[in-house]
Amino acid sequence: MTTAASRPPRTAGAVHPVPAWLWLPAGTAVVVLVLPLVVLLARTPWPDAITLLSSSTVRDALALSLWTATTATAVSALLGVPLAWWLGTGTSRGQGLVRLLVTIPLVLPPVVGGAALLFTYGRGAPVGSLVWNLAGATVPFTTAAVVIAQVFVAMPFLVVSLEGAFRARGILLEEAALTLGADPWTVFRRVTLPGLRPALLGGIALCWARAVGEFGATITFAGSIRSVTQTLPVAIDELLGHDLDAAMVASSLMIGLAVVVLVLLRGRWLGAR
Amino acid sequence: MHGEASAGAPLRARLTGSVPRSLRLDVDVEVGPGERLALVGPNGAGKTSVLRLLAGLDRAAPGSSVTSGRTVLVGDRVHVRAGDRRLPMTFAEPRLFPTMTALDNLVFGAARSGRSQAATTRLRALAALDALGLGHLVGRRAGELSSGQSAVLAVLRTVLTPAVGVLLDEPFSSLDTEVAADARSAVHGWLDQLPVPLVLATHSVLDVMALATHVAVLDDGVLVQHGTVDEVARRPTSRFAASFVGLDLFAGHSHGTEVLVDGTLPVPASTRGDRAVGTTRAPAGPWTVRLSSSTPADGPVWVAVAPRATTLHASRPADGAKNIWETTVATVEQLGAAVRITCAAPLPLRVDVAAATAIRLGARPGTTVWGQIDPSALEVYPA
Repeated sequence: MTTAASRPPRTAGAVHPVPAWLWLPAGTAVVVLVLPLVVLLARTPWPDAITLLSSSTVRDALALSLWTATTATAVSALLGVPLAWWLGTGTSRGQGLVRLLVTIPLVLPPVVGGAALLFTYGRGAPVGSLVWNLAGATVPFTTAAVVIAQVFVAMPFLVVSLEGAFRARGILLEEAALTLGADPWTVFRRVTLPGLRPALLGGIALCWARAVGEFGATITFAGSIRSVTQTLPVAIDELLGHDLDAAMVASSLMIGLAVVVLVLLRGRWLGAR
Repeated sequence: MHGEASAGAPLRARLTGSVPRSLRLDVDVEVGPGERLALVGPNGAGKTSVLRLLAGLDRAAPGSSVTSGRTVLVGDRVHVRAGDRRLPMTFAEPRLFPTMTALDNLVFGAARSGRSQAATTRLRALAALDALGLGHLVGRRAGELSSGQSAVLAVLRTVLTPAVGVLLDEPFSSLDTEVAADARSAVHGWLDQLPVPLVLATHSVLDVMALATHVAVLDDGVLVQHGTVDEVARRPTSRFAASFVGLDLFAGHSHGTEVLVDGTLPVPASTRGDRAVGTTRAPAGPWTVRLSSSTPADGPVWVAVAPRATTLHASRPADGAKNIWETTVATVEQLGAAVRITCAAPLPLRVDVAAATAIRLGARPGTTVWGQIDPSALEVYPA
């Protein structure tokens, strides 16, 4: 968070040390990344947007997406903050291995994650049969499965970003608080968490964005049942087959959500970045 | 400034080592209530480690014990957590909580001890801030304070915490000289009134003069000398302690008022009983000089010399004068308006003279000069 401040300020009019021909690949990169989104937004039938958005498919999917992603983010924060704390400040052996294991979902194709979840929580599978015996419920193809898939895919983002913040901060303030007579829980609540607010909000925003956009693991593990497991990305996939206009409106909506999250991430209320 | 539970027990520590820092220590020290012990020693001597072990931030090696009165804080199979020790610590960085106000920082420790304690501490904190002329900072976030204000508030926060002892680790080392002087005088009054033991690690002789009653000299984890500030300043028993107070220290061997001074460098840093200096035999050779002292002694001794005690002459002084030896100039350096001349064999003394004197001597490396020292200026004491 402080590295930016230690760099010399860049001013307009300063001599640019980059060779001119680099603008060509750099400009191409921007086009590759931005053009599809611009085209999508341009082709979206905006005059019909209100009607299409209020269609039950899109409306249900949006509502489901918003509340499952929020639930998944809450679960990720409850479990992920302590994990990030341990990874970032602990000194135990085996931390490197744990860090590697819990970040695998970051680079794993989500569909593989969904398959792994199915093999774990399915009816005949170890955890699945336990749940069946205890609660008489099945996990796959339920709203719970949607949340589990989102947690599996999104929590690593929160853990990785927070771990870096914990590591950068060190435990200097915590040590001071301890010698002043605070118990570990008070230290965490009064010193650690407030100091971590910017990083925590950033991690939560990233995690939520990833959860709301989750598709591969969801469709594999939870399927596409209207109002139950059909989140907005899953609905878009289905609409592409029979209602392109609705698919475009829903996609534009997701672009809007992504932009909102980015703005919040960079916003001043997150502190200087 | 403290709760009733803190009333007057000595802090006693026997430390054999620090586990997380893999450091061996040999420290056995007791600090009485109202005593203020300065830990001094070269970098890496273990000052910070001792404080962290006392505070409970690092785990002590087996055989260690820390007690406050009859309460055992650390012993074999006992490890009272840092949060339960009532030994608040100030670090080399202020470590104020940046998300809290200055006032919330100051009452943080007292707030752990209940509502009424917090309320009285709040009043004390406000009074202390007013006395410092910092009353306007009360509601300011700690992150917005200057480094000098932060250092003072960090000490104040420690002092305002209910405690059985107070630990300060180089609280002013990060400050400019002038700011440090202000901070030192600001905290002096509070530390003076502490009814509990205080341990202060420092590199600064000014800290020792202003804040300490006793000094403990650490070298390579070993406590080599422990005494009042005056004792250690007058009769240091290690090269570090001597140079800390600005003296030259030599080993010697005394017979009555006659002392054979061994100018060999370096003098062994430590002289605890079994590790006695190599002067049980009477030394002789090019690094030995025979001097007479006004304090009679017998056996191995230390000889401490202040840098202005020696007079240098361009030619041999008149016969009959005592304590004269021939030497050459090793180095010459400027020291404010004075010049510091370091002599070569037999006695590598540092001698501070007026620049005019240095010019008259023609002092350059290699110049022959005669040293002379008054017998009463030699501090001779048993090693």
